Amino acid sequence: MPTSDTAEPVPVRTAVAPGLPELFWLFNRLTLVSFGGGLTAWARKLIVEDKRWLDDAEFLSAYALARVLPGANQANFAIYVGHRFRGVPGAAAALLGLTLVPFCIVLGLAWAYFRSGAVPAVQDILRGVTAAAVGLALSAGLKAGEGFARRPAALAIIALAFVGSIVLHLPLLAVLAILAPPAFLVAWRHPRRRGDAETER
Amino acid sequence: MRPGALVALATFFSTMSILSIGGSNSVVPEMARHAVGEAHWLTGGAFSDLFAISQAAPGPSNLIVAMIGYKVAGLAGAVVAQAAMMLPAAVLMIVVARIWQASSGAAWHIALEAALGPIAVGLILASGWTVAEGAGFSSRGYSAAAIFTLLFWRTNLNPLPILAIAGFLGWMRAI
Repeated sequence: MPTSDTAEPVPVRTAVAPGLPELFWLFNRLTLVSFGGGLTAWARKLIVEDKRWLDDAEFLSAYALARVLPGANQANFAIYVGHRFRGVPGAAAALLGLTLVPFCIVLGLAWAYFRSGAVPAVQDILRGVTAAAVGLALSAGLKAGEGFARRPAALAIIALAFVGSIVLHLPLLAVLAILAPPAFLVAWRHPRRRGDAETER
Repeated sequence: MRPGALVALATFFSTMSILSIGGSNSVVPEMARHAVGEAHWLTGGAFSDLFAISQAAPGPSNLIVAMIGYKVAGLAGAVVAQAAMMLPAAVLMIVVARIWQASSGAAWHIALEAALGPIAVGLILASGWTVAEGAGFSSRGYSAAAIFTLLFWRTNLNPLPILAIAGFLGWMRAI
Protein backbone atom coordinates (compact mmCIF):
# COMPACT_ATOMS: atom_id res chain seq x y z
CA MET A 1 0.00 0.00 0.00
CA PRO A 2 1.37 3.44 -0.87
CA THR A 3 1.79 5.76 2.07
CA SER A 4 -0.52 8.72 1.82
CA ASP A 5 -1.68 11.48 4.09
CA THR A 6 -4.96 11.92 2.27
CA ALA A 7 -7.93 9.60 1.93
CA GLU A 8 -7.60 9.54 -1.85
CA PRO A 9 -7.60 6.10 -3.46
CA VAL A 10 -4.77 4.58 -5.43
CA PRO A 11 -4.58 6.21 -8.89
CA VAL A 12 -6.22 4.43 -11.79
CA ARG A 13 -3.87 2.59 -14.10
CA THR A 14 -5.34 4.10 -17.22
CA ALA A 15 -2.57 2.60 -19.37
CA VAL A 16 -4.14 -0.85 -19.17
CA ALA A 17 -7.45 -0.40 -20.97
CA PRO A 18 -9.16 -3.81 -20.99
CA GLY A 19 -9.98 -5.42 -24.33
CA LEU A 20 -13.34 -6.78 -25.45
CA PRO A 21 -12.77 -10.37 -24.24
CA GLU A 22 -11.56 -9.07 -20.87
CA LEU A 23 -14.70 -6.94 -20.51
CA PHE A 24 -16.91 -9.88 -21.47
CA TRP A 25 -15.26 -12.29 -19.04
CA LEU A 26 -15.10 -9.85 -16.15
CA PHE A 27 -18.81 -9.12 -16.33
CA ASN A 28 -19.56 -12.79 -16.86
CA ARG A 29 -17.63 -13.54 -13.67
CA LEU A 30 -19.31 -10.64 -11.88
CA THR A 31 -22.79 -11.80 -12.78
CA LEU A 32 -22.16 -15.39 -11.68
CA VAL A 33 -20.49 -14.63 -8.33
CA SER A 34 -23.25 -12.18 -7.43
CA PHE A 35 -25.80 -15.00 -7.18
CA GLY A 36 -28.05 -14.00 -4.28
CA GLY A 37 -27.28 -10.30 -4.66
CA GLY A 38 -24.40 -7.99 -3.94
CA LEU A 39 -23.44 -7.19 -7.52
CA THR A 40 -22.49 -3.62 -6.63
CA ALA A 41 -20.13 -4.87 -3.95
CA TRP A 42 -18.55 -7.38 -6.30
CA ALA A 43 -18.26 -4.73 -9.00
CA ARG A 44 -16.43 -2.41 -6.63
CA LYS A 45 -14.15 -5.20 -5.43
CA LEU A 46 -13.23 -6.47 -8.89
CA ILE A 47 -13.16 -3.19 -10.83
CA VAL A 48 -11.89 -0.71 -8.23
CA GLU A 49 -9.82 -2.84 -5.84
CA ASP A 50 -8.50 -5.70 -7.96
CA LYS A 51 -8.33 -4.45 -11.57
CA ARG A 52 -8.16 -0.71 -10.78
CA TRP A 53 -9.99 0.14 -14.00
CA LEU A 54 -11.89 2.90 -12.14
CA ASP A 55 -11.17 4.87 -8.97
CA ASP A 56 -13.79 5.23 -6.25
CA ALA A 57 -14.93 8.67 -7.41
CA GLU A 58 -15.67 7.48 -10.94
CA PHE A 59 -17.15 4.21 -9.70
CA LEU A 60 -19.61 6.08 -7.47
CA SER A 61 -20.66 8.56 -10.15
CA ALA A 62 -21.10 5.68 -12.63
CA TYR A 63 -23.20 3.88 -10.02
CA ALA A 64 -25.40 6.95 -9.57
CA LEU A 65 -25.86 7.36 -13.35
CA ALA A 66 -26.65 3.65 -13.71
CA ARG A 67 -29.26 3.91 -10.96
CA VAL A 68 -31.02 7.02 -12.22
CA LEU A 69 -31.26 6.18 -15.92
CA PRO A 70 -33.91 3.73 -17.18
CA GLY A 71 -32.93 0.09 -17.39
CA ALA A 72 -31.54 -2.56 -15.07
CA ASN A 73 -28.91 -0.91 -12.85
CA GLN A 74 -26.40 -3.71 -13.39
CA ALA A 75 -26.83 -3.52 -17.16
CA ASN A 76 -26.36 0.26 -17.17
CA PHE A 77 -23.23 -0.08 -15.06
CA ALA A 78 -21.80 -2.72 -17.42
CA ILE A 79 -22.52 -0.42 -20.36
CA TYR A 80 -20.75 2.45 -18.60
CA VAL A 81 -17.59 0.42 -17.94
CA GLY A 82 -17.55 -1.19 -21.39
CA HIS A 83 -18.04 2.14 -23.12
CA ARG A 84 -15.38 3.77 -20.96
CA PHE A 85 -12.66 1.56 -22.41
CA ARG A 86 -13.88 0.27 -25.79
CA GLY A 87 -16.77 2.46 -26.91
CA VAL A 88 -19.98 0.88 -28.18
CA PRO A 89 -18.36 -2.55 -28.85
CA GLY A 90 -17.07 -2.49 -25.27
CA ALA A 91 -20.54 -1.67 -23.97
CA ALA A 92 -21.94 -4.58 -25.98
CA ALA A 93 -19.24 -6.97 -24.73
CA ALA A 94 -19.80 -6.03 -21.09
CA LEU A 95 -23.59 -6.22 -21.43
CA LEU A 96 -23.38 -9.64 -23.12
CA GLY A 97 -20.99 -10.88 -20.45
CA LEU A 98 -23.45 -9.76 -17.79
CA THR A 99 -26.52 -11.24 -19.44
CA LEU A 100 -25.73 -14.25 -21.63
CA VAL A 101 -25.16 -17.02 -19.09
CA PRO A 102 -27.89 -15.86 -16.64
CA PHE A 103 -30.28 -15.64 -19.62
CA CYS A 104 -29.60 -19.33 -20.38
CA ILE A 105 -29.92 -20.29 -16.69
CA VAL A 106 -33.23 -18.47 -16.38
CA LEU A 107 -34.57 -20.12 -19.57
CA GLY A 108 -33.68 -23.50 -18.09
CA LEU A 109 -35.54 -22.57 -14.90
CA ALA A 110 -38.55 -21.29 -16.88
CA TRP A 111 -38.62 -24.53 -18.87
CA ALA A 112 -38.52 -26.56 -15.64
CA TYR A 113 -41.15 -24.34 -14.02
CA PHE A 114 -43.67 -24.60 -16.83
CA ARG A 115 -43.20 -28.39 -16.97
CA SER A 116 -43.46 -29.05 -13.23
CA GLY A 117 -45.19 -25.95 -11.87
CA ALA A 118 -42.83 -25.90 -8.89
CA VAL A 119 -40.40 -23.21 -7.78
CA PRO A 120 -36.96 -24.72 -7.21
CA ALA A 121 -36.60 -25.35 -3.47
CA VAL A 122 -33.60 -23.19 -2.74
CA GLN A 123 -35.23 -20.85 -0.23
CA ASP A 124 -33.14 -21.86 2.80
CA ILE A 125 -29.82 -21.74 0.97
CA LEU A 126 -30.80 -18.42 -0.56
CA ARG A 127 -31.65 -16.91 2.83
CA GLY A 128 -28.15 -17.67 4.05
CA VAL A 129 -26.55 -16.31 0.88
CA THR A 130 -28.71 -13.19 1.14
CA ALA A 131 -27.44 -12.51 4.68
CA ALA A 132 -23.90 -12.57 3.31
CA ALA A 133 -24.90 -10.52 0.26
CA VAL A 134 -26.36 -7.86 2.57
CA GLY A 135 -23.06 -7.80 4.41
CA LEU A 136 -21.24 -7.48 1.09
CA ALA A 137 -23.39 -4.53 -0.03
CA LEU A 138 -23.10 -2.71 3.29
CA SER A 139 -19.34 -3.30 3.41
CA ALA A 140 -18.98 -1.87 -0.11
CA GLY A 141 -20.82 1.26 1.02
CA LEU A 142 -18.65 1.48 4.13
CA LYS A 143 -15.42 0.99 2.18
CA ALA A 144 -16.35 3.59 -0.42
CA GLY A 145 -17.55 5.88 2.39
CA GLU A 146 -14.21 5.72 4.20
CA GLY A 147 -12.84 8.15 1.62
CA PHE A 148 -15.22 10.79 3.00
CA ALA A 149 -14.40 10.13 6.67
CA ARG A 150 -12.87 13.56 7.32
CA ARG A 151 -15.44 15.58 5.41
CA PRO A 152 -18.47 16.42 7.58
CA ALA A 153 -20.52 17.80 4.67
CA ALA A 154 -20.03 14.59 2.66
CA LEU A 155 -20.89 12.45 5.69
CA ALA A 156 -24.07 14.46 6.17
CA ILE A 157 -25.06 13.83 2.55
CA ILE A 158 -24.38 10.09 2.94
CA ALA A 159 -26.63 10.06 6.01
CA LEU A 160 -29.36 12.10 4.30
CA ALA A 161 -29.36 9.85 1.21
CA PHE A 162 -29.70 6.81 3.47
CA VAL A 163 -32.44 8.34 5.63
CA GLY A 164 -34.30 9.63 2.57
CA SER A 165 -34.36 6.15 1.04
CA ILE A 166 -34.93 4.00 4.11
CA VAL A 167 -36.81 6.13 6.64
CA LEU A 168 -38.72 8.52 4.41
CA HIS A 169 -39.13 5.99 1.54
CA LEU A 170 -38.43 8.71 -1.03
CA PRO A 171 -38.06 7.58 -4.63
CA LEU A 172 -34.56 7.66 -6.06
CA LEU A 173 -35.29 10.69 -8.25
CA ALA A 174 -36.50 12.67 -5.22
CA VAL A 175 -33.36 11.82 -3.24
CA LEU A 176 -31.20 13.03 -6.13
CA ALA A 177 -33.32 16.14 -6.79
CA ILE A 178 -33.03 17.19 -3.15
CA LEU A 179 -29.39 16.34 -2.46
CA ALA A 180 -27.55 16.76 -5.77
CA PRO A 181 -28.00 20.56 -6.23
CA PRO A 182 -26.60 21.60 -2.83
CA ALA A 183 -23.85 18.96 -3.04
CA PHE A 184 -22.99 20.22 -6.52
CA LEU A 185 -22.82 23.84 -5.35
CA VAL A 186 -20.52 22.95 -2.46
CA ALA A 187 -18.25 20.96 -4.77
CA TRP A 188 -18.33 23.75 -7.36
CA ARG A 189 -17.26 26.41 -4.89
CA HIS A 190 -14.70 24.23 -3.12
CA PRO A 191 -13.18 22.08 -5.87
CA ARG A 192 -10.92 19.27 -4.74
CA ARG A 193 -8.81 17.66 -7.38
CA ARG A 194 -7.37 14.21 -7.39
CA GLY A 195 -3.93 14.75 -8.77
CA ASP A 196 -3.61 16.28 -12.18
CA ALA A 197 -5.76 19.39 -12.75
CA GLU A 198 -4.12 21.58 -10.12
CA THR A 199 -2.16 23.44 -12.78
CA GLU A 200 -5.27 24.44 -14.70
CA ARG A 201 -6.38 26.97 -12.13
CA MET B 1 -50.03 -15.86 -34.50
CA ARG B 2 -46.35 -16.26 -33.70
CA PRO B 3 -45.00 -13.16 -35.50
CA GLY B 4 -47.87 -11.21 -33.97
CA ALA B 5 -46.86 -12.44 -30.51
CA LEU B 6 -43.25 -11.41 -31.11
CA VAL B 7 -44.31 -7.94 -32.22
CA ALA B 8 -46.52 -7.62 -29.13
CA LEU B 9 -43.62 -8.64 -26.88
CA ALA B 10 -41.21 -6.26 -28.59
CA THR B 11 -43.63 -3.34 -28.44
CA PHE B 12 -44.59 -3.79 -24.82
CA PHE B 13 -41.13 -4.48 -23.39
CA SER B 14 -39.36 -1.74 -25.34
CA THR B 15 -41.83 0.69 -23.76
CA MET B 16 -41.10 -0.80 -20.32
CA SER B 17 -37.38 -0.39 -21.04
CA ILE B 18 -37.64 3.38 -21.39
CA LEU B 19 -40.07 3.73 -18.47
CA SER B 20 -37.94 1.73 -16.02
CA ILE B 21 -36.41 4.75 -14.32
CA GLY B 22 -34.62 3.78 -11.12
CA GLY B 23 -34.21 0.15 -12.19
CA SER B 24 -36.22 -2.52 -13.93
CA ASN B 25 -38.08 -3.48 -10.75
CA SER B 26 -39.88 -0.14 -10.90
CA VAL B 27 -41.99 -1.39 -13.85
CA VAL B 28 -42.79 -4.82 -12.42
CA PRO B 29 -46.30 -3.73 -11.32
CA GLU B 30 -47.03 -2.43 -14.81
CA MET B 31 -45.64 -5.64 -16.32
CA ALA B 32 -47.91 -7.72 -14.08
CA ARG B 33 -50.93 -5.59 -14.98
CA HIS B 34 -50.36 -5.98 -18.71
CA ALA B 35 -48.99 -9.54 -18.89
CA VAL B 36 -51.59 -11.03 -16.54
CA GLY B 37 -54.63 -8.77 -16.84
CA GLU B 38 -54.58 -7.44 -20.40
CA ALA B 39 -52.54 -9.72 -22.64
CA HIS B 40 -53.24 -12.93 -20.64
CA TRP B 41 -49.71 -14.14 -21.27
CA LEU B 42 -49.66 -15.99 -17.93
CA THR B 43 -51.52 -16.25 -14.61
CA GLY B 44 -50.89 -14.03 -11.61
CA GLY B 45 -49.52 -16.97 -9.68
CA ALA B 46 -47.08 -17.84 -12.43
CA PHE B 47 -46.00 -14.19 -12.63
CA SER B 48 -45.20 -14.16 -8.90
CA ASP B 49 -43.31 -17.44 -9.15
CA LEU B 50 -41.28 -16.24 -12.15
CA PHE B 51 -40.48 -13.00 -10.35
CA ALA B 52 -39.18 -14.94 -7.35
CA ILE B 53 -37.07 -17.16 -9.63
CA SER B 54 -35.67 -14.15 -11.51
CA GLN B 55 -34.66 -12.43 -8.27
CA ALA B 56 -32.92 -15.56 -7.01
CA ALA B 57 -31.09 -16.24 -10.26
CA PRO B 58 -27.81 -14.50 -11.10
CA GLY B 59 -27.73 -11.69 -13.63
CA PRO B 60 -29.50 -8.39 -14.24
CA SER B 61 -32.77 -7.83 -12.39
CA ASN B 62 -34.95 -7.83 -15.53
CA LEU B 63 -34.63 -11.50 -16.50
CA ILE B 64 -38.28 -12.15 -15.63
CA VAL B 65 -38.85 -10.64 -19.08
CA ALA B 66 -37.00 -13.53 -20.75
CA MET B 67 -39.20 -16.01 -18.91
CA ILE B 68 -42.40 -14.23 -19.90
CA GLY B 69 -41.20 -14.15 -23.50
CA TYR B 70 -40.40 -17.86 -23.27
CA LYS B 71 -43.92 -18.60 -22.03
CA VAL B 72 -45.48 -16.61 -24.87
CA ALA B 73 -43.37 -17.69 -27.84
CA GLY B 74 -40.60 -20.09 -26.82
CA LEU B 75 -36.92 -19.33 -27.36
CA ALA B 76 -37.60 -16.66 -30.00
CA GLY B 77 -40.01 -14.98 -27.61
CA ALA B 78 -37.40 -14.98 -24.85
CA VAL B 79 -34.75 -13.43 -27.09
CA VAL B 80 -37.10 -10.79 -28.54
CA ALA B 81 -38.58 -9.81 -25.16
CA GLN B 82 -35.20 -9.58 -23.42
CA ALA B 83 -33.63 -7.60 -26.28
CA ALA B 84 -36.61 -5.22 -26.31
CA MET B 85 -36.26 -4.75 -22.55
CA MET B 86 -32.55 -3.97 -22.78
CA LEU B 87 -31.82 -2.14 -26.03
CA PRO B 88 -33.68 1.20 -25.67
CA ALA B 89 -32.31 1.77 -22.16
CA ALA B 90 -28.86 0.67 -23.37
CA VAL B 91 -28.84 3.25 -26.16
CA LEU B 92 -29.74 5.99 -23.69
CA MET B 93 -27.05 4.83 -21.25
CA ILE B 94 -24.45 4.83 -24.04
CA VAL B 95 -25.37 8.41 -24.99
CA VAL B 96 -25.11 9.58 -21.37
CA ALA B 97 -21.88 7.63 -20.78
CA ARG B 98 -20.41 9.18 -23.93
CA ILE B 99 -21.24 12.73 -22.79
CA TRP B 100 -20.07 12.03 -19.24
CA GLN B 101 -16.80 10.37 -20.23
CA ALA B 102 -15.99 12.98 -22.89
CA SER B 103 -16.32 15.78 -20.33
CA SER B 104 -14.05 14.21 -17.71
CA GLY B 105 -11.76 17.25 -17.40
CA ALA B 106 -14.52 19.86 -17.23
CA ALA B 107 -15.16 21.77 -14.03
CA TRP B 108 -18.87 20.88 -13.99
CA HIS B 109 -18.02 17.18 -14.41
CA ILE B 110 -15.56 17.27 -11.52
CA ALA B 111 -18.04 19.07 -9.27
CA LEU B 112 -20.91 16.76 -10.25
CA GLU B 113 -18.75 13.69 -9.66
CA ALA B 114 -17.82 15.01 -6.22
CA ALA B 115 -21.49 15.69 -5.50
CA LEU B 116 -22.67 12.25 -6.64
CA GLY B 117 -20.04 10.35 -4.61
CA PRO B 118 -21.53 10.69 -1.12
CA ILE B 119 -25.09 10.34 -2.46
CA ALA B 120 -24.11 7.07 -4.14
CA VAL B 121 -22.53 5.81 -0.90
CA GLY B 122 -25.79 6.53 0.94
CA LEU B 123 -27.75 4.75 -1.79
CA ILE B 124 -25.48 1.69 -1.69
CA LEU B 125 -25.91 1.44 2.09
CA ALA B 126 -29.67 1.87 1.64
CA SER B 127 -29.78 -0.90 -0.99
CA GLY B 128 -28.13 -3.35 1.41
CA TRP B 129 -30.60 -2.33 4.10
CA THR B 130 -33.55 -2.75 1.75
CA VAL B 131 -32.48 -6.27 0.79
CA ALA B 132 -32.19 -7.17 4.48
CA GLU B 133 -35.68 -5.79 5.18
CA GLY B 134 -37.20 -7.70 2.27
CA ALA B 135 -35.49 -11.02 3.05
CA GLY B 136 -37.75 -11.91 5.98
CA PHE B 137 -34.80 -12.48 8.31
CA SER B 138 -35.22 -13.68 11.89
CA SER B 139 -33.05 -12.02 14.54
CA ARG B 140 -30.40 -14.61 13.67
CA GLY B 141 -30.53 -13.48 10.05
CA TYR B 142 -29.96 -9.87 11.04
CA SER B 143 -27.12 -10.87 13.38
CA ALA B 144 -25.53 -12.89 10.59
CA ALA B 145 -25.85 -9.94 8.18
CA ALA B 146 -24.17 -7.66 10.75
CA ILE B 147 -21.31 -10.13 11.24
CA PHE B 148 -20.85 -10.53 7.48
CA THR B 149 -20.81 -6.74 7.09
CA LEU B 150 -18.00 -6.38 9.64
CA LEU B 151 -16.12 -9.31 8.12
CA PHE B 152 -16.26 -7.97 4.55
CA TRP B 153 -15.57 -4.40 5.65
CA ARG B 154 -12.60 -5.11 7.86
CA THR B 155 -10.91 -7.93 5.94
CA ASN B 156 -10.01 -8.59 2.33
CA LEU B 157 -11.20 -12.20 2.35
CA ASN B 158 -12.48 -13.61 -0.91
CA PRO B 159 -16.27 -13.30 -0.55
CA LEU B 160 -17.02 -16.43 -2.60
CA PRO B 161 -16.20 -19.12 0.02
CA ILE B 162 -17.93 -17.01 2.65
CA LEU B 163 -21.07 -16.85 0.49
CA ALA B 164 -20.88 -20.64 0.11
CA ILE B 165 -20.59 -21.06 3.88
CA ALA B 166 -23.52 -18.70 4.37
CA GLY B 167 -25.59 -20.73 1.91
CA PHE B 168 -24.69 -23.90 3.82
CA LEU B 169 -25.65 -22.28 7.15
CA GLY B 170 -28.97 -21.25 5.60
CA TRP B 171 -29.52 -24.80 4.36
CA MET B 172 -28.85 -26.07 7.90
CA ARG B 173 -31.43 -23.51 9.14
CA ALA B 174 -28.73 -21.78 11.20
CA ILE B 175 -29.47 -18.41 9.57
